[in-house]
Amino acid sequence: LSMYELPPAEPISVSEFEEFAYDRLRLLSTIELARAKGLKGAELEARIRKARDEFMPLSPTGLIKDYYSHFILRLAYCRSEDLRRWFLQNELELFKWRFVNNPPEDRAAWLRAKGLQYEAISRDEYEEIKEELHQASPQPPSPPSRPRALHYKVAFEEVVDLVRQRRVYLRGGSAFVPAADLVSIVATARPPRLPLPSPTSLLASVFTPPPPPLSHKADRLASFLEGLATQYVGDDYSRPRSGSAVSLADLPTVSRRSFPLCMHNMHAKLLETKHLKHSARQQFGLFLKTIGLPKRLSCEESTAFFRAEFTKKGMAADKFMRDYGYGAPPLHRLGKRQDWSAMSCGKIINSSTPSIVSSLLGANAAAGEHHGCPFRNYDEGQMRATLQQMQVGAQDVQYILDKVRGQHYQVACGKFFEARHKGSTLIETDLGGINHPNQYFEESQKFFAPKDEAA
Amino acid sequence: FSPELLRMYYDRVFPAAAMCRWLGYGTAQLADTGARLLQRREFSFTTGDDVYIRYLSYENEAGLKKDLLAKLPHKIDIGAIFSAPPSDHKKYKLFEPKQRELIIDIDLTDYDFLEVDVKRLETCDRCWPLMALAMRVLERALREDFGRGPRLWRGRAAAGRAGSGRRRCRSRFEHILCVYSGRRGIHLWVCDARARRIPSMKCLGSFQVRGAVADYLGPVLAPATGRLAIRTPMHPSLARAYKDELEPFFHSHMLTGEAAGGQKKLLAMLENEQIAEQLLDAFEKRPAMSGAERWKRIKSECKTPKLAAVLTEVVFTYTYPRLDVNVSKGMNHLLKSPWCVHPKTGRVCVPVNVSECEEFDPSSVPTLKTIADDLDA
Repeated sequence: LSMYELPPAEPISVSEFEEFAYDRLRLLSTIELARAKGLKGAELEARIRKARDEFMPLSPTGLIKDYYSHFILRLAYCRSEDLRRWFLQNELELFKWRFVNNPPEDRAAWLRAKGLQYEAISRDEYEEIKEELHQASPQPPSPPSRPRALHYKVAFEEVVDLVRQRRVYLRGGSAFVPAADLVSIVATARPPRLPLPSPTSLLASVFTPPPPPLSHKADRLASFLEGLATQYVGDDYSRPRSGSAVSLADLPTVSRRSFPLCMHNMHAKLLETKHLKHSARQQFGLFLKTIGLPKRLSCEESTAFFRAEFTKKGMAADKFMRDYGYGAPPLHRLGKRQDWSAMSCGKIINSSTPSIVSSLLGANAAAGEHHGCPFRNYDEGQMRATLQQMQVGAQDVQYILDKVRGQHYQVACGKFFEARHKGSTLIETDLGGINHPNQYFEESQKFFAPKDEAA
Repeated sequence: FSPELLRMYYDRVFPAAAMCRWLGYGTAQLADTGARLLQRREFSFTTGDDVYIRYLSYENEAGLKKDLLAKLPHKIDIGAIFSAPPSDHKKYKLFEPKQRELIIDIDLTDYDFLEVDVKRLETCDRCWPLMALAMRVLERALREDFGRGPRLWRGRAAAGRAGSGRRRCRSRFEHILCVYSGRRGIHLWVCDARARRIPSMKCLGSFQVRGAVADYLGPVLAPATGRLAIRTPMHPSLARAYKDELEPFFHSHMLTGEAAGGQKKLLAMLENEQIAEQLLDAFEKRPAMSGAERWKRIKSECKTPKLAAVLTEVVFTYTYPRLDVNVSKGMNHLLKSPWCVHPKTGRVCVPVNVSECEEFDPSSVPTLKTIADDLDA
């Protein structure tokens, strides 16, 4: 059980560094998905245990990995409020799990060591408020060997989440917390002690003094950290998949049937307005490339596709080539060797939001910006209307809107998938949600494949 | 709403001195001017054409009064205590709210399920008992759960207070101000230092103490059933409210006062058509039946644990205070000042004594007009 108070000082190799980071990211993503699905109690614990055993086993190396990877991710995730929250929430969940699953003696020792001493109420006090305590937090009847569960008296500010859920007895500004809920105090007490230092200072402290062989790799580490936050750890969609080649002629049908909402939206807008702005072209273009269009479409043809759509509105072809022709070559790896694999949901959600101001005003469509994740960018009314138009049932709409409110965009997308593919159960499976637009597409193709063959 | 009336009101009636004493919280005489709370408090005036003038602040009552007379605001709001005087907020790089009363806003608009016609003032006044009930329930919860409450463990508590306990136990919620909002709601201001100092965000993450308190007090609407979700056994705080306030109110107001249509809707919420119909029949046959009798009848029909739980939820749905959680959550939310004149009704937002809130009659609240008449007389 560690609060990660001191950053590690021992040097590690760069490949270890990357491996550790990925494994922790996988662990936290698993927790995130489990939480997003609303798993509680035993189910959640089982999920965390499984992921922990897989990625951070309780072995000497596993412990070192845990220790290092926490700090590496801290580095990567301290750059924005959103990322911080994501990281913190999932770390917290992991911590809670560890806390609850530690033997009581260890727990007590740990509390003592951290100076978190709480006063247990006396027997007399307990007798006096016994009934209220039971009403407030129904506990399973305690075994006869222990006549009463210990309760601790703390200021209500320290057990915020219990207060919020009305799961604790309050009197006179004090909360009476059963021993089993003690984790709540610890969890509340923890964040203030988890200052997230700026990346440079932490980098400096992680590697003080910078070991000579590492300094020339600093660049590599920096870009690795930068990318980590939006890193996608699922299947690799960086290359076009075989077997999913879609021809240009099929595009309208396929778009309607198998595109995730973000891509469908952009396709629709492209057809409607004959135009897409740069970010949208990039997001959409990469997606198209990966579903196999470029197998038929060389780089020039892809340009031709956009040109055909753009010029329908009367834009001169040469104007198109002059103003927009620059887009396709890099998408097809003809320019600088950069990573032009299709964007994952994490990337789409976090990095390509239409400017905040315009999305607040609900005007991003008006501004002609259609990239990003619709589940995040649309306001509720717009979302509802869109879903109804896509013939999503009222109950599913409600579910989706709930998830959106809870910022679980990927689960919302998963539900959208289910609603559009009657009889499929995506959320219930291990997947939980959609992690990648191309994953959505492939799942959809898989779903329709047998039916197409039958037809 | 003429400028003359407003000038008269701000000049001769508005208790600027008392306001400043309240908002100063005893710090007005401190030698260190930075520690004086009043001058770091944000005021906001709203002009007749709905323009908000934010970040006003005053060093003393004279300043406030002078500006009131100069600007003749139609509405006055009070914001948070900031790290620096809000009127110079552009000078400081770091300008953020530091303290804020815990505020609770209850408005009849949130009670639209009762099909109260909130646009018409008279009906709003008829609904005052609901507001009074909300006020009593919340005030009691604040005082007992977060405040001193009935004394517990007499001997030890007394001993503790004399000795070291004094230092350890923080101040509690005791200073609660209830203000009539001028039309159809009430505002509660919890002014104790402990409440004021609750940060809205504790460092990182979403550990919002204010939000938690609001959620603790506020109900959770279950969208599937359209009822407030209440767990059995009830939380002690809810159980107390139910026993002492909600249940009596329910049969004295909800069962007698309402027309048959309203009762039909109410009974439909039991989700048991057979029983609902029986009860409705019985009620129609004997329109003279008193609320208490009807209540007994309903209760005798709802015997199974499941139905009883639903019935409890229905009672909560109809009576439990609906507070606007968002107002309480943040520190930077403006709230209409006491003694402000409501721009639509002309009524003064007068403080209400909770122990006498039953007798309070919104329609007898002084308006600018009546004040003018009184002054002339």
